[in-house]
Amino acid sequence: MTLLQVDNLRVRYDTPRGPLWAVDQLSFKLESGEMVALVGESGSGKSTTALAILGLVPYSGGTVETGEIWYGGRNLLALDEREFRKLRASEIALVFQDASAALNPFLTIGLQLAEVLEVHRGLSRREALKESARALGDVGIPDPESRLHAYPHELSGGQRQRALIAMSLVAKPKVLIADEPTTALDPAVALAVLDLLKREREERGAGVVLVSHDLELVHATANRVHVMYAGRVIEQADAHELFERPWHPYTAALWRARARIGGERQHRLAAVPGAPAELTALPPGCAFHPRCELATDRCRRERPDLSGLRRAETGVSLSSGRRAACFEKERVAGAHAEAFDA
Amino acid sequence: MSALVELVDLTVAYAERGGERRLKAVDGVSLSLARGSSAALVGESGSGKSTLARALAGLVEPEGGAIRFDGREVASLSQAERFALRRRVQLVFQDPFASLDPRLSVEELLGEPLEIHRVGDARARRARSFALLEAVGLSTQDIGRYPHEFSGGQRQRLAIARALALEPELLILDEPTSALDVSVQAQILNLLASLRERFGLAYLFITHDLSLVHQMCERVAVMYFGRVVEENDVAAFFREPLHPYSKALVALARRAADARTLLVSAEAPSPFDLPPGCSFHPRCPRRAELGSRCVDERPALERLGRERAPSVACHLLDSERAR
Ligand SMILES: Nc1ncnc2c1ncn2[C@@H]1O[C@H](COP(=O)(O)OP(=O)(O)OP(=O)(O)O)[C@@H](O)[C@H]1O
Ligand code: SF4
Ligand code: SF4
Ligand SMILES: [Mg+2]
Repeated sequence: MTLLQVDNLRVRYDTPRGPLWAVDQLSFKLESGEMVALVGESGSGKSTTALAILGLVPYSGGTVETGEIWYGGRNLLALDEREFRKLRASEIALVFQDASAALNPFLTIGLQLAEVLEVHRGLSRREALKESARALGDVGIPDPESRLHAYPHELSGGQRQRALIAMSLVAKPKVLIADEPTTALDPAVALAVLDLLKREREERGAGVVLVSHDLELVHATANRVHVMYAGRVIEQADAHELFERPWHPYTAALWRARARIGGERQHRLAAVPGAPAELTALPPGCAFHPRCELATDRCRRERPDLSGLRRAETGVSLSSGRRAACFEKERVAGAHAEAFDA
Repeated sequence: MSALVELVDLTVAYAERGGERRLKAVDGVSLSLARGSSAALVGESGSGKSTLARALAGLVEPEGGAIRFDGREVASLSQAERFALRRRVQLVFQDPFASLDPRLSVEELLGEPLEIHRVGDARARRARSFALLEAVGLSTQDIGRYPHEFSGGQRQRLAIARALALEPELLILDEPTSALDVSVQAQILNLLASLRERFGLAYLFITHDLSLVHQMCERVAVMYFGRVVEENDVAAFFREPLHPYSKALVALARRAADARTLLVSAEAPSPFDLPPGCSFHPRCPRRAELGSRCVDERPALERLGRERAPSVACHLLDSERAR
């Protein structure tokens, strides 16, 4: 079942240096129980997409120029703020990154959780507190009844993070937006958080939009991946196919550039030359061309659209919906096919 | 190889904000860094990595123990000698946006440390700035620009150039690439690797990302709440980490299937209320094997052989050796 469908989203920010389109021509679907990842470098438009799904673009000073976001038979972008606020938290929730900023320091954890339940599930204070304790236990906070009375500063950093996640989950939202949910966490706590998101998907069919620059994390946890560059999706595929046989030179370069624990120690990494694209001064043609080894004259003039492979004989399985925006994708995909044959 | 820097039983403590308790951020650490070597310092947030780095750079006063350069104790040096020592140790921070004064041009940023230490005249300093820009892969035409005109990766190059201005022997790199994108991170790490070869620098690399340790460093020290629990050769460490906490860290970084079983709890204790004995014991899956010893007695960091052999602070290795 499709939970969420984003169609042709385009978001503009007006800056002193001129207008920029942080997101352009973005479309994707989120199925029930699925985790879809948006990856890319900073400024590629991942967080702006997340903001749009939460109806928060206007608050960040941006404008949604075109696009529709379908959820439960309604176009979210046509909702008024009151309707959106009701949906946020109860059905579409953000898993926050910065726990210290998002919790109220003057209220106990229990009251903050209970409030969400009273508003969104209509529970009485007593029921809500009982349910809150259960929610804290669910996220692995020891002795949850007594922790209900704690103020945020009385919890450890990891516990605060998890209390906040408990808060985003307590109303049982169908869609979870996780923007870099683990970057601020120690590895053991990060793993616990990922286990929790997985449980939400498996046990009650929640869908997760994961925003991350951590390719290993995406590879290990997401079902489908959209790679963004300069506001556009430049490749979309199933997670395992994407990194095993990338079609787009940028995806291939990102994957090669990461440091890894397995294999030989090399002392040098395969760096991508150049710097991420400036959105206020995008190069003509393919936005990646100044950094691309395969760029041709055509790439410097013309902008490639997202499309499937033209030839089937590359040996790459043509899974449904796999696409990349590159004139040379057959060569990139073929290069892997050859490498695998050899 | 003689040691460039030695830490002997170093302790650094902070007073709790608004409270009376003291927090030993670094608690009796002994470590040695060889000339031209690259060592990593890893551990969870709050384990004391950055505090140790700040003490080493002379930015905080240790409460106890000693720091020795070339075998000479820093505390015994005169004011002037200490000032001169500052040149030899430089820090590069995580956030190039915060660490560079936005009001200074590139020329001023690179010239300032030389001026403070009275190195050369204005012309010599300008020539040195050009050489530094070239060394870090920036254009000499950038000399009149300001930090905000650069991308994140270029700014980190600038911070590195500034750190190199005084020809230090030791660079302390505190999460130098964690604010950068994957594609740019690789450029900076490669730059650091070639600068080390070119200038014979020693690196102390502070990071929570074990894959960077694997790729960049020769030695690794693991910290847990102010103490070093393991010090080892990097290749050996990834082949077989020795301390139970190291085993968990490596398994988590590898996303190994058994990672969940290597820590009894994901939650770390409060630094103000550390468990007695081995502070890792509430999370250690192996402590039951030793009866109450892990709760009663704090394990000391002990070398398991000769000079380059690993050091570990765990009673298990003790009892294994006794056998
Ligand atoms: N409030 C704003 N006003 C002006 N420009 C903005 C604003 N928010 C974002 N942008 C710009 O939009 C572009 C995309 O930003 P966005 O935060 O969506 O990227 P991202 O991929 O999430 O990056 P990161 O990984 O750094 O979070 C960037 O160029 C950014 O500078
Ligand atoms: S379209 Fe051209 S420049 Fe763009 S990624 Fe493909 S080959 Fe490179
Ligand atoms: S001393 Fe005991 S508790 Fe500490 S790491 Fe070793 S076995 Fe575990
Ligand atoms: Mg972002």
